[in-house]
Amino acid sequence: MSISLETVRDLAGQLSPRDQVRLITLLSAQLETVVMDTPAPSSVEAWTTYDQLRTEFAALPEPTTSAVAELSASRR
Amino acid sequence: MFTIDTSVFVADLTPTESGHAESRALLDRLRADGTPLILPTLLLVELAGVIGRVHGDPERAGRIVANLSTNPQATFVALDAALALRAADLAAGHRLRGADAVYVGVAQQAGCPLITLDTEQLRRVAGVITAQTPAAALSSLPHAPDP
Repeated sequence: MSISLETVRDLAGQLSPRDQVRLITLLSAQLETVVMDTPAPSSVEAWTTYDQLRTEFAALPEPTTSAVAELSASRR
Repeated sequence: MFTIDTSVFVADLTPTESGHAESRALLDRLRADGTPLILPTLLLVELAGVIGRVHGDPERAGRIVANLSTNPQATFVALDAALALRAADLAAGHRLRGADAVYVGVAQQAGCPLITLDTEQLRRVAGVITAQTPAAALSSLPHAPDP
């Protein structure tokens, strides 16, 4: 069975004010779950690009020195 | 919330580094959890410099810096006058290297641990703030929920 958004809106309009508040509370809780489970798109895009760069770096020739050791030496 | 040292990103991007696997595992976990990363802007400079020198690839160095600097999960803390004074106090009081003092200052200000593979940094900042290797940080995190 499918039901349109307009029908739901009409039905919601027939609810008492108290039940309308309960409906909003219920829907808000569902929305919070969806939002919390879905990372922000811009963050996803940034990490996807980071993954591409990881792949590119892995394909580079093996460095002759340790990058971490080079970093530590540069701090002295 | 964690402050991550440049060494962790360098190791993540360099498969031949001994700390590569643990660095990648930690960054992937923090990414999956959406954990905020509190990073000094100094990280961008150090990362570009190390990649440019070790990999000889300034173009990719620029791209990785541009990517990290715009990642919404990362908050970059600029070395302003207040942070500089805090770092100066830390450097003088705990005989830290300049870069170490900046990382400690950022982590201390945010109230979070510093994750690093730089053994000298680990040794020097112990007792000032909580400093861990990526492997130690990973083991301290609660088990990841099943996907």
